[in-house]
Amino acid sequence: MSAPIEFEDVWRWFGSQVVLRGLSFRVEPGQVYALLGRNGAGKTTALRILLGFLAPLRGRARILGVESEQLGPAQRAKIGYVGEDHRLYSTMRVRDVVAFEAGTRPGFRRDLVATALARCGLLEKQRVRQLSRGQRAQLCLVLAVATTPELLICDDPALGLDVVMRRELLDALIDLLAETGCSVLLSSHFLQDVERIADRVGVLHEGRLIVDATLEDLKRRVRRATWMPREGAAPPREAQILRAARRRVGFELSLLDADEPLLERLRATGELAPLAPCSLEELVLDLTGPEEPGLLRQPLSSFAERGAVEVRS
Amino acid sequence: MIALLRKDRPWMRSVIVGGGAVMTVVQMTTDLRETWALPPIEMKGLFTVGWIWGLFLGLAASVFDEKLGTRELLEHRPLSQRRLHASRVLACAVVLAAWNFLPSLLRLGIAALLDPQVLAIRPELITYVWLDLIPCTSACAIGLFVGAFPFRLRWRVAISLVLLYSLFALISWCAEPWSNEEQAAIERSRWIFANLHLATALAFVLASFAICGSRRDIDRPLPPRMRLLGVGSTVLTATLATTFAAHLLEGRHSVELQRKFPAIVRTTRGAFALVRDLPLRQGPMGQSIHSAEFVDEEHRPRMLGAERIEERIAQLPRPWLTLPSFGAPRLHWRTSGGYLESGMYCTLQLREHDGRYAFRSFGKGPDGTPFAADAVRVAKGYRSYDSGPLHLVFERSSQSLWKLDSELGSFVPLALPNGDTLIDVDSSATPTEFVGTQVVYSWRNQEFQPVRASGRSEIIAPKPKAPLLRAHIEKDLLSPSHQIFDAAGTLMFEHAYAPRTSSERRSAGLVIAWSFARPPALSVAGHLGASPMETENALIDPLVSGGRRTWLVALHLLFGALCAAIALWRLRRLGADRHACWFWGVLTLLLGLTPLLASLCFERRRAWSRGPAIEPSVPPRIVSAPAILST
Amino acid sequence: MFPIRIDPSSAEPLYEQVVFAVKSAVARGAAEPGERLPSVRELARELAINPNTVVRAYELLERDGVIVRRQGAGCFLTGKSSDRAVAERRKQLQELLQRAATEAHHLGFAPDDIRKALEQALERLHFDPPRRKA
Repeated sequence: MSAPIEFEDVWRWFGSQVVLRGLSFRVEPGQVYALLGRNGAGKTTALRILLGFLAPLRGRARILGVESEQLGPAQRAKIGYVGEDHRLYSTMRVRDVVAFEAGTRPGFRRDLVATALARCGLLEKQRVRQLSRGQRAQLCLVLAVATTPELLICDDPALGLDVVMRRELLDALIDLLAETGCSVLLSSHFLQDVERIADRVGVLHEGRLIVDATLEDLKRRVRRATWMPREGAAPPREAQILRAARRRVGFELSLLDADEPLLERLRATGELAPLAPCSLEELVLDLTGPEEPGLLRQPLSSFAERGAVEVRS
Repeated sequence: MIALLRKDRPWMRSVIVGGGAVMTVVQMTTDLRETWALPPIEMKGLFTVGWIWGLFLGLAASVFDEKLGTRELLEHRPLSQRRLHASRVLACAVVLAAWNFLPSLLRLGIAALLDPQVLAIRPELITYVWLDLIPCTSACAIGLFVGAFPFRLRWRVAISLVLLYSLFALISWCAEPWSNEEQAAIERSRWIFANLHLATALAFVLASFAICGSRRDIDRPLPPRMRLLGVGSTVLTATLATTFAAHLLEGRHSVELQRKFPAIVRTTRGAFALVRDLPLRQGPMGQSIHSAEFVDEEHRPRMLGAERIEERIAQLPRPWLTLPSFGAPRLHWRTSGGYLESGMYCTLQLREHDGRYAFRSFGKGPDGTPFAADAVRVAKGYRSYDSGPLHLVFERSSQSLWKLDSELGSFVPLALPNGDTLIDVDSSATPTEFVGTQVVYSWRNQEFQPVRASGRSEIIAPKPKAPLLRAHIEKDLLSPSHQIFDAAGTLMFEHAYAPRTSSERRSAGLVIAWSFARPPALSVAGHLGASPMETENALIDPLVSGGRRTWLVALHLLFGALCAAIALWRLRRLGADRHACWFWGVLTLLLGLTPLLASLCFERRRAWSRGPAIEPSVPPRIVSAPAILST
Repeated sequence: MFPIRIDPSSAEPLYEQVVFAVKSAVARGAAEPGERLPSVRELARELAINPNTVVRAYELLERDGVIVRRQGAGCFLTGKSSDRAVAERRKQLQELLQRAATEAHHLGFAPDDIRKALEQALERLHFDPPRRKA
């Protein structure tokens, strides 16, 4: 079976603003792929391209074996999609929403939805516009998985949800995975959730994928350490040093595949604290955050003095 | 598809109620009998309300999901774009059906409540209501079509209005009843009108299926199908609208010019003169205001002094070019058209406001004897507000005066008071004077009032119109020429007009300049095909019609070629593909300026931009081999 | 039944945490041979982790002979500790201790202290009364 999702050097720009610069990755069958990155990194654009709502300007995205622009009813039937804003027809009641979906999607399992709704505490007579954000998100997910899709695409499904709602959402997703073994591509800002559920993560930064690795790999290979240089030496510019953040004393280094030669080199010019593991949150912060912590809180004038804020990718 | 309508229910409900209420109110404003018992009158209000609501309906159905932000929610389901669009069409059809029945039923229901003994209603007359509502269907189809364009909403609204105006004007023009006489002509014209609107609706619904689902993406060129159908129809109708506008502007400037076009008169001294502004306009009481300004052959103003105008020989009709408008087919009653046709019957329009069963034959007396051929309508300037216009007919051969009695439905003879005998009617006076053998009367307060003693004592035979002179006028917007021949065919007077003063030249220049806004293809067609002075047909340029001004046609063609060259040069620079170049090249060559301007609007630089330079693709910094899951 | 706890934000892969939790329960005696493990779905929901991770952990446990899968009935503890080749096990043990030793060294402990601590850990494993959960 070919990969359900495949991006091949996808470029997209809006006028002079380039949003995706040669995005390439693939999601294997049964995999849960989490697309991470800051706001505006291009996650939503990538997902919209994938679903055929937006055209790639270069390269191509394939989904379930077809070009995303040629996505037809046969493929859409196998894809569940939860959009970023959990949009539903606001005048409908919950039962209308369910009836609407049931009438327009073959293979829609009403029994499944009924039990799921009961579990979420959603009443059939409630109006969509009276639902809270979390309830809407839940409803959207329930509807998306009610056709038991082969592929589920979620654009930041947990955005704006409280911690309980987020866990409920996670449970629904886990149920789906346990039941169908479908592939999932999701974008999210909630890295703790991602750590629980993702098999593989991709980190998008300024339109480029800077990480495309399994979660285990990532955690095993990236380590952090505090390094205090002697006589004000600068941290060496090496590919293995993902980021060197200046601290009150010394630097906080994020090291990729730290091997002995590298550590030796670092020890030669400074004092290296023992390596510590790194959580996903720290990792994403290291990769996509500004060079120095606290930079974003400085007044804008100091940016002007520095010139452009250089963010390493 | 029925299931899809579930989402449309709220807006369908409100549109049915809103539009239906307005249509009911409009129906209420017309008399029940006039709509439902007699052959119905035209409901202009219903027509107007119909197309406005129809357009709104089509646009609303088309953009509903887009504006609600539910487009992706809707499109991400296993239904093709055509199915989704078919559900929109179905929703529109339901609303239209409701609009065609509910207001009429409501109107009749209210009437039955107010007056239980409602007179004989003829339900089949609903077809006439439908006739006035047919534009609702075609406007809705236009809305559906344009609503599917991948442009900003305000552009779509503007385009739909252009499309609607041009097509409706065209349909109304095609369905114009050319004969004022016959009911049958009206029926035929209504049939044409209805069928053209239905055909338009069908065509636009089909076209909307072809372009449905196109997404707005200003960083990509338009899809070829959208360009061909959507942009093509927009450009064609915009060209039509530009042509109408050019027609109107040409007319306005040429009227400026021709206010100076004089009439040819013969003065009391027997000299020919060109007289300007004669008569200028109707005064508020119906009197003519004469303001004659005499000009000589070089048309420099010169006062003619005590000389009076003996006879007006010819006057160039002012080519008041009218803007095509649209409306339901109706009789165009031209009040100047004459009341008496072929001297046989006096046909009168009883209800001037609508032109429905407008034509009735009236004759002398209850048996309706035809008038003689020399009967004329007199009583200019008489209009009393309580009794309506006065209809008086003077039959010269029998020296009799007839007045219409609208209650009797026939003309009754009218005699002068005191046994005076009518010998003449002086229509040149205002108000018209009735010359008896003793006294000259005027008609006031429903009776003859003596004005002065009559100078004439005997019946004067009407002066036979001496066919002495024959005027030949070469009509033209800019340079008409007059020739006057006497009975023997000798040329007595000749004047060729041409703009001479600077303001005249300016006006003429503007007229010519506006003619460049017309499509070159139509210019050629008008040059080769049309009759010399076409002012009714807005599509034909009166400057070049009938083989005139070949140089101007050549310039028009050259201008078209220039437009095409500019459009192509720009498209090449933007890097447009062959399809786009061909499309705009052909359109600009044929239609000139409008497609050129349209190509600037529709083919944006961004759409053809090649984007940023391709950078070498950077592999992710941290990458692991694709995990092979064991499941 | 015995509790399985994991820490998703720890650097250790989740499936390894699950494997370790099961193994340590067996080693502590908290779990009895023949005990049925929760189903993949149950455990995934309980821990709120990807079912794939649980599947992977169970596969590793099965490969190590800690559990046995019976078709349609679920997974059961064998009561044996890992039956992987001795050499491999030894290698793994060495790696583990090497890592612990390195870390301990950097924590500033003398080798004797480390040795003592390891012995204490072993004692705790054997003499701690097994905490059972209902």
